[in-house]
Amino acid sequence: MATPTASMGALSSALQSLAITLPRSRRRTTTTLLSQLQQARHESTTRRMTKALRLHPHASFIGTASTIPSKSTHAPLTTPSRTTATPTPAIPTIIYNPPSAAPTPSITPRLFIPATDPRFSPPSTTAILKTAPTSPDAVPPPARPLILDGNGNPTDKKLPPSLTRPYAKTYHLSEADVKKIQRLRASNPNVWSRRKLADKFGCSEFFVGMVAPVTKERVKEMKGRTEKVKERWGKVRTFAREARTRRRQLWGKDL
Amino acid sequence: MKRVSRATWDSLLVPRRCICGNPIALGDLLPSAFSSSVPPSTSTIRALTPPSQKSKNTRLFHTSTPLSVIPKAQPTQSAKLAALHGRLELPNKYPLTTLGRALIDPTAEPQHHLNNDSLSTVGNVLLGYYASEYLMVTYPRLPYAILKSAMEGYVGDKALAAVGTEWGVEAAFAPGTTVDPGLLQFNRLAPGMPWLPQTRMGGLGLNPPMRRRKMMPTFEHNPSLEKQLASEPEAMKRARAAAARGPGSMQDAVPLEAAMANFVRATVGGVYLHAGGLLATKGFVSAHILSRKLDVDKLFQFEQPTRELSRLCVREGFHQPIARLEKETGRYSRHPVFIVGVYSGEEKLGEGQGGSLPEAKIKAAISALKGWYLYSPVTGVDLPSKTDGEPEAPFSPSFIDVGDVVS
Repeated sequence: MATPTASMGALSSALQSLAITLPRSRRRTTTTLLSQLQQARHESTTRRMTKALRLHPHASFIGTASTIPSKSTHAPLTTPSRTTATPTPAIPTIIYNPPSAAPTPSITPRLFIPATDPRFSPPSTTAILKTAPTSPDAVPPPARPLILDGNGNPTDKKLPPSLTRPYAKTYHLSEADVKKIQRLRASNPNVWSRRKLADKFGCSEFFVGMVAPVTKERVKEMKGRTEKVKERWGKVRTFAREARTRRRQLWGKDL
Repeated sequence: MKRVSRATWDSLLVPRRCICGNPIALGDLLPSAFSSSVPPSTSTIRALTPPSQKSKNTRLFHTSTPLSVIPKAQPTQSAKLAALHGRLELPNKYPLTTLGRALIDPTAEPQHHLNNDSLSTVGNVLLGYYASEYLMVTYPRLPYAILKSAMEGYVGDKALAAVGTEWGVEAAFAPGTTVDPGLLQFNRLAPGMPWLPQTRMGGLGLNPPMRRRKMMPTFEHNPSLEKQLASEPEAMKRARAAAARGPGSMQDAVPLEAAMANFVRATVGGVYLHAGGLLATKGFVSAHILSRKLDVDKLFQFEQPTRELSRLCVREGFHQPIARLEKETGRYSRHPVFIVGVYSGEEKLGEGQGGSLPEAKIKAAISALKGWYLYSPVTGVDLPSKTDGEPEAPFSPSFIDVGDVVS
């Protein structure tokens, strides 16, 4: 799951190293206008030009066989292994550096792997509910919680921001409230719309629609009203709305 | 390629089929019988006479016979049939005549012992068994609707017809006595005619004794059959009445796809009957059918993915899923791109990208749901059919899921 991010980082670091390894003369002339007689290469010899254009290998390749000076033509690098006390073993290792791609559904998220599977590793405790979701003392999760380390202590890193502010469902409506919602909705659905009832009782419009659905005649009437509005649309708007509906349906297919 | 021994072919004496439904005596195949002076009614009468009186002087399947008999009309002498037998690497135990019979659709030959009806019934059951156990073990959390369409993708008419075409089987223009036995023979559905198989229309279909998909006895005065006949829809009753009025109106014609699929089923049934039972069938099915690639993750279509994921998390005791904006570019441009991840606590469940925030959010929920539904145990898990041949074999039961998410 983390591969796209990792490879994105790889790309940006490669671009940075490209900027560094550009010949100094090239960097200088990017701002000035190249005349026709001016040549594109600015090192005097092929060897210097090749050397100047040489890209350093990506960090994940350092320490592998291709970057060992005795075995390759690459210039020796100042790797972290030279400074640390324990040198990196210069043995061939598996380099996992895939190109960036959309995540595939064939990789099951860690939370979804059952405990009987050999790939199972215990998921983060923050993902498991400790109390039932209907308990009254449930608090909304923070919008950007800190990531915990292995010991449960928060690290400096934060999760990305949530799209909408997370909220905890309160389950505060009693049966009498539901009855009242139904009565109001039935008395005058023009006045007591879903939104108005949701605002009054502090619940979602979905909940109002669920507990107090309108009659079939009302649905028919509302559809007729929509049809009347749609009749006034021109060719362009009709086509655009249809195309939007089709696009919206295709989201569900996720092709 | 394995070769078929000549002795195996010649030892088999199987009645040849005839369009009128009676086994033909060899004398009918002599050039004199086919000359224009002989009326066809004579041919039928001669066919009904016992063959022992006539076939004294003519040897049945003699390889060195000069071309006095129409050679292509004999299953054992059709080059197409032998080539198909070799191409499928069928063992010598699998007789060419069975393969030839698998190529004869019930619409071309109504006699049960001469067409592939019974063979395709056996094959259909076996194909359904192996495909379903494979899918249920490989994707134990697949919703029922997706499981059904995946089954259709493996052993449905369309898929099996594609398999038959890939095997190089061609169809005869029309069934007949002079058709090469290596060609698929069936009565073609006329262009523009409706095709009313039992499964699509409900009820019994046009020809109750030919119900091939279900294990339905074909006796007369069958109470369950009569009950089904009574509960048929009106359109099917009208179609049955029309079919009963005139021959060749709507009765007993199939499209090529259905006939080809039935041939493949019949071939599998033949493998079970002749080539070594369940073990050989399992190998044949996995080599020819289950080895085909089917993108199961492309079969999904979600109506309310965010709600479904939310219900899933409640059911499984996970924290409510929260969509988080991971990356974005060009928010105020013509073509923005948003990458949204959906998280439960710290655990990332899925990631989606889209041109708008709702789109990316929905795609992320879909990605998470697919991650749930397409969970697959590690490879090498045991299929239930492992113990078919050897009941003492070590077997580890597969993962069983509680079922679909109801939202």
